[in-house]
Amino acid sequence: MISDLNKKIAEVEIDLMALEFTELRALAAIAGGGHPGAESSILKIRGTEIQQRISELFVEAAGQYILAYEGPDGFESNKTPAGPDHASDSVAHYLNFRKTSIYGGSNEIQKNIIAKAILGV
Amino acid sequence: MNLNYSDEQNMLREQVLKFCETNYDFTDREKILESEVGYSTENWKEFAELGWLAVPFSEDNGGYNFGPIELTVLFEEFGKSLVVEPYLSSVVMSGTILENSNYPAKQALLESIISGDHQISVAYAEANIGYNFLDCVTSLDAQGDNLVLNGSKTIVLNAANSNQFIVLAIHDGKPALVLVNSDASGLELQSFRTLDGQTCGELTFENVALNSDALIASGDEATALFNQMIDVSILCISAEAVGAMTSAYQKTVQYTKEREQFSQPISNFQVLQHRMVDMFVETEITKSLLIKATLQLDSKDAEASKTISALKVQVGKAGKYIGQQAVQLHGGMGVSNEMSIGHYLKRFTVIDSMFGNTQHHINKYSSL
Repeated sequence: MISDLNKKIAEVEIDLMALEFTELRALAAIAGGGHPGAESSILKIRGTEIQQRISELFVEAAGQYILAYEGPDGFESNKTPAGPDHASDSVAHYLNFRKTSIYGGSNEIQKNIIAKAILGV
Repeated sequence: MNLNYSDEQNMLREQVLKFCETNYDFTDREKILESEVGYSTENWKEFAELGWLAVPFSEDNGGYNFGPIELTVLFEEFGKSLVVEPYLSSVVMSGTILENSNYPAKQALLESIISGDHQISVAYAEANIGYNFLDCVTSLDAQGDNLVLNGSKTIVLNAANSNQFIVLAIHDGKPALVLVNSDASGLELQSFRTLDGQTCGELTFENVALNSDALIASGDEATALFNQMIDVSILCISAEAVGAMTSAYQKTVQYTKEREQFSQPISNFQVLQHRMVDMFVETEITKSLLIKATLQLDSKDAEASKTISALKVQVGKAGKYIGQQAVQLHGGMGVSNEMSIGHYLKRFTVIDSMFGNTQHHINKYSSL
């Protein structure tokens, strides 16, 4: 039996694999003379969700070291961040990546697009 | 990368689609399940005549030399209409083992499966070993020049309709696959229905005497044949699940457009629209992994088994989500036996439980 964190990593890895192949399907459609259309909204929604989940996993793995926040400009050059390397900027990435489901047409707008263009509701 | 289906594959899809449109609406299916054998013998005959039972087999064995891609095309279309004929147990499971084995009698057996007159089921599951099928205790021992089989097998698909079984047993401390006639003395069958209305059974073997030529494979060869059969079977039920997901979300969209509440179709409500978009996205994501796994298995890629575990995880999660939400959005109608939608949820639940559930395959994926 694997740990809870390892299970989440495996799940996000599987979702990333599926996203990558969804992208290839869209590219193959273009190569075949078609156009991906509203299906590319799938890529925006899932891509940003996966980005955000990975950034959450970094925070989870960093544990208590996320308290040692580097500040908006990073750690001053003569200071060594507390904790392992992966921990030092994990929380900054996590907070920064909240933007991805907002920009480029928020994920809610993407869902409106799919609802109208593909589902016809 | 060419991800387009060939003309031949598209023709096969059209053919299955047409067959299901003509012979497989929900009331047809209900009648089929009410019959004693639990599937339509007429449909099975037609499958044979259309050549579908020959799809995965090599020309030497009377087949079309098709492979995983054509199987997934068939199963995706089967899944849309929840087809119950025993294609998985007889053609895919038994067929895959026999086709790839060095068993001398395999050609005659495959030809009899292809003709539609003969069915063989694989007896692989046992109590107390979960999904670790190869850790079974059913034993195949030598007795003079002959063999004797003792033990029991559970969840044998289509058991009551099978003429023969391929039984997984331990022989000389290693896995073996052995062919047993359904009327063998010492073999007892208890038949029951599955959650989704198909037939299934439990077998017990008490000193079942077998000729030595009943042994299909043993040791590493048996393990390889068995694992390959599981991979192909997972691929097929995953394709079936993708077809069922497609129908489930499309039927839900249709229903919400027709169902009026608060003086308007409920499909006008954004919360329902977004839910249905999530169902659509999960379907497409699952389809992507299905195509990846199919192409890898087709090209005998070393990563295929790992991708198949990833696919089974996605099928389990997406099937549960889409099945549950389809029922939720149908409201009270969703839980009625007379509407098809609840039967999709049942099929998703059965598919997740077969050949290792979501949890099993997350563990397997992480270990590969």
